[in-house]
Amino acid sequence: MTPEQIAKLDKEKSLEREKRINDFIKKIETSGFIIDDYVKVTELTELVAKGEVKPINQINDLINLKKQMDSFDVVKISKDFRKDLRNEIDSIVNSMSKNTKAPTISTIDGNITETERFNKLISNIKVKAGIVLAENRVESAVASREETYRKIQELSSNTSLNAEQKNIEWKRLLSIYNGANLDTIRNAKRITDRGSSNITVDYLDDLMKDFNKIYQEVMIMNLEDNTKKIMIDNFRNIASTFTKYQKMISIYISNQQKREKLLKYLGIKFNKEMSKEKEEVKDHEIKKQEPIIEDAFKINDTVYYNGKAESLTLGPSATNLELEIGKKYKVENVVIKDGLTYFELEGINGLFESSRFDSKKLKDEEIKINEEIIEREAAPTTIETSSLNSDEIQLDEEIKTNEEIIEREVAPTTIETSSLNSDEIQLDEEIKNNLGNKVISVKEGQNPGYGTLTWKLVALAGIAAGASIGVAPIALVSAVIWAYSEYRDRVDISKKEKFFPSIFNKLKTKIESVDIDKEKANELMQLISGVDEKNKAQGLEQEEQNKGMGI
Amino acid sequence: MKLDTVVELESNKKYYILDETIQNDKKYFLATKLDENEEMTAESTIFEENKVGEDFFLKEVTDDKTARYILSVFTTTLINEIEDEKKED
Repeated sequence: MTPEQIAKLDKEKSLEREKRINDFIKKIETSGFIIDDYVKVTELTELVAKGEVKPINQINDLINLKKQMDSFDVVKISKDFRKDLRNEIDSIVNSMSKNTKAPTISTIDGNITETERFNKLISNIKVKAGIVLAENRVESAVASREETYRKIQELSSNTSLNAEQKNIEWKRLLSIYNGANLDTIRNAKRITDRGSSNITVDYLDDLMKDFNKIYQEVMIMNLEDNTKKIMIDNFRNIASTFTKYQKMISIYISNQQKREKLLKYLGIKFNKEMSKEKEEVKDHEIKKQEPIIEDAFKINDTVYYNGKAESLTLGPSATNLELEIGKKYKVENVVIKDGLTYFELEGINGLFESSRFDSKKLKDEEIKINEEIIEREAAPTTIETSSLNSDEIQLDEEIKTNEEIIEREVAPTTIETSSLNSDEIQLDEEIKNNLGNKVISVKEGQNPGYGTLTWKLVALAGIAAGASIGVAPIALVSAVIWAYSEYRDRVDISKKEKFFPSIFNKLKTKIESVDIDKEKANELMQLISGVDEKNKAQGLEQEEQNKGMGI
Repeated sequence: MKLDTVVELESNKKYYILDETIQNDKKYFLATKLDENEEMTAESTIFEENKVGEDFFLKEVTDDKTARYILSVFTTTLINEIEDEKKED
């Protein structure tokens, strides 16, 4: 070979080498990546220059992987999953409805029949799976807030009220608008948000376990053979649905892992600038999912303790602290914990729930109005029984929601002391307060019939009538009235119902004082009046009988 | 602690245990206060049971959300019981 030929070959080789390296780098850049590890990429360019194809194959794999992952829409898949699951659950419910065998008492819950138990299980799992939503309730809650705003707008032109009355009414409406209306929206949204959470492997595993439990329970229910066979198929279909979506999610996770490995091998990362547009879209989506109402308070704001309830404090140093109602405090920090907003206050240790504070100092009268409204408009407690159609309320949903609240809010008070001798236990006053009153004796009830439905009714009606709306919302009150009315129609409880007149008077006052739908209020009042009439009639009858007997 | 019993507390108050429920591993009771003759009164409450060693403690549920929830549970149980009795009639 002549020197010219050698030089030409070297030049060609050099050009080829340069081209390979350039092509490799260009591929990295045009595919949406930037170099993260310059040493690594330099090493790879050496390999590429030598004609090794592994780095190029790897980047091709990465590009394909990225395309696959970009097309994986977890939001859509989550929606599809819930849609499929809803259909499967409907099939199960449909199959159960065809069972003609009489429902027996549930072996798991002796208080209800198997049918009721089944309905409860289905209702609970629907809520957990995010299938039962409260979108309508969110809409109605928003509409209710708008209605309050409309009332505020109309206040100026209202000629039936004087200036002072208008002012009081305005404060009342404003408190509803900024307090209870918002709480209602938040509560309804919290339920609905379950349906917009993305599915994950753990989520599916957890849900599948619940379905397995339901399956086991259904299989021991008193079902016809044919219903049982169909049920087995239904549950098998559910298992297949879970497998299908678990597989999809697993593939995505596996792709994620592969992608990380490839990025590390290639010494590159995603070009943020190129994906900025996408991230902005994502941010926008996330923002859309944020609570409708943003927290009104910020760091350095001045707030006033409103005394609406005992302040929820976190941290040992805060437990004995008493904040003064109406006193001004400065917000040093805002902390979000378990979805609740807490303040750190200047000069005071501990965290304080933000809802216990107002942005402006309230007068005594306003505080009173506020408390009443909070009671009146507290988050809607929902009760659904087959007999409370007019309420259209979902107890199971509420129970589920409240279970979470209890899990989150009830301070653990059970103390593991199985290995302790009770004599050795020295309880200080604080622990004692947490535990409650010590039981010093327990004996069998002497008076027969005390544990009957009548006394439970007296107890529950008494609590419902005497409690705040926060504890016994109107839905619960109507449930108690219904229970009484049902029971009263069938059982002579006149001799044991000395407490009912005063209880019903309290209930009447409660209904009258609550800002609820007039139709609903009338319905409840009629129910109470009906019961009253019957009581009076029976009382007279009893009186006549007594007279006849010379009592 | 069980149903249909009279419990006397350290405060010397006596209650009749009417109903119970276990929620999140905690036992709650529906109880009615008894007068000095151990007759039922109109005063009822919901207690949370706590156990320390061999000792039992009853703490009145004062948290609104918890009280509302437990009250819902007891009311639903009562409604179911009434419904069941109705079916038996």
